[in-house]
Amino acid sequence: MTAILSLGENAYGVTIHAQVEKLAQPKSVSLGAVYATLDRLEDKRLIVSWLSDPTPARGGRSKRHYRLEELGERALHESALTARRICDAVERIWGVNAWNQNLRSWKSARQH
Amino acid sequence: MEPEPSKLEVRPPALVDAVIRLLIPPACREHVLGDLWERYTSPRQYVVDALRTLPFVIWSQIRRTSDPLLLAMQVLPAFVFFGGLAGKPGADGGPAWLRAVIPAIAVAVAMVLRDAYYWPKYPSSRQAVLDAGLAVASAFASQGALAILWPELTLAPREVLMGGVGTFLAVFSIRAAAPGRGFRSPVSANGSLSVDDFFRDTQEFERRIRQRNRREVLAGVLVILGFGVGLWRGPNLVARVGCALEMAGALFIIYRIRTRAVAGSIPLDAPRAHAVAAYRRELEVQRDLLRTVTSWYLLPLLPGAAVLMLGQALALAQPAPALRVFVFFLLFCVLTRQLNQRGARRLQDKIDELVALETLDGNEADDRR
Repeated sequence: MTAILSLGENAYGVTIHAQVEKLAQPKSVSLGAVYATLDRLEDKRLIVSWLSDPTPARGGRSKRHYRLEELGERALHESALTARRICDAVERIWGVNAWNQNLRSWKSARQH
Repeated sequence: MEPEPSKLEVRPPALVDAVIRLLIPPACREHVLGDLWERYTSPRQYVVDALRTLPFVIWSQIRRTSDPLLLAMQVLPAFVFFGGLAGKPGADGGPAWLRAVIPAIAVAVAMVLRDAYYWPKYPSSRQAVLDAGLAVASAFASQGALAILWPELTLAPREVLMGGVGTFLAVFSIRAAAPGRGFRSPVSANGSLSVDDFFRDTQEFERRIRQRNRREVLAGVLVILGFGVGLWRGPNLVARVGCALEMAGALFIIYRIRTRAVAGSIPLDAPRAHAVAAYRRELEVQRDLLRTVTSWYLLPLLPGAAVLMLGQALALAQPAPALRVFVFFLLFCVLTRQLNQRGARRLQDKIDELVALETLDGNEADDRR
């Protein structure tokens, strides 16, 4: 939902997948998993989708565009608040500098 | 410096594209194929991308289209008709249920995939015939595969044939009566009502009720004929009484369908308020019928089934097979009731929307005055 929100008018399969990969770094997410999640969100009426006009760049096929519904915006807002509370709690215990240091060391450990 | 090749010149091989196109469920084919095309860099990448995407897309579609209740009502009869309750051991001494469970699973897989790849807006009898044919073909195919891989688990040709006929009839009757994805209110989310949608919805409603009544009457006649044979050739007096009771139950159901379940014609040329009110009344009649299905459809058949099973148990001098069939019958009655209660709830949703629309229309008329 964060990806859809940040992409605005340009939110469709390929761009949402790219955005999700960027947000989920260093984890990789498959395109299929993104479709399955979008279907679930749509079934829960958190997002809404529609087909655009076909384009030659896609072999004459349409894009399925997605947009957040009011319910989705509310759910995303709640998730963001939860994430912020988690961040605050971690920072209170580790401190901002220690946390950043930990993150850097985990990232370099993963790269090695 | 050479110009960059345009996106139009880079396209997947036609054959690969056609195969992948076939594998993607139609409901998401357009955009998934377009996205895969957009990401195309080489044939290998395209195939890998598609193969990684396909399981998710198919699973998501299965999740969206599968109905466990409907599936159970198709698979359970298949299991019974292929001899799952017979109790007789197979040629290898293995249990009968094990041999019957394989064609039943084949039927389940075929129907789940059928729904994922083809989910009609409004189901038709012709479509239900095709679906039932597919279910039987997959059961037969499972026997063909078993004959090669595991011959001791195959059913006898006569059992396969009888199972096929029974499964065909069961799957056909369930799928012809099942609601399609077009089973929704003609009233849009903002409370407006398009004349075209209303016209289409009422026409479809009347057609489905007429078809359902014809099907139920035909099924009732077949039940009467079938139990008529049982009445004549029954193994003992108790079984014959059971057959007679079943015939009486089927006659009562036909009578109820002919008198209470007939869809009245909705006057589409009348003013909108009258047409909507008439449609709402028809929906209420059908909702009440579905809600009370236990009393007029299931209970009339229950005494006959119980007596018939008692007769069978006495004739065979062992109660276990007859008891198993009776328990299955009860289970099927419970599933039928659940399905009808769900249908009644859906009709109620539709009725609520029409009532809201009528109230809105009434308020607007008051404002104009």
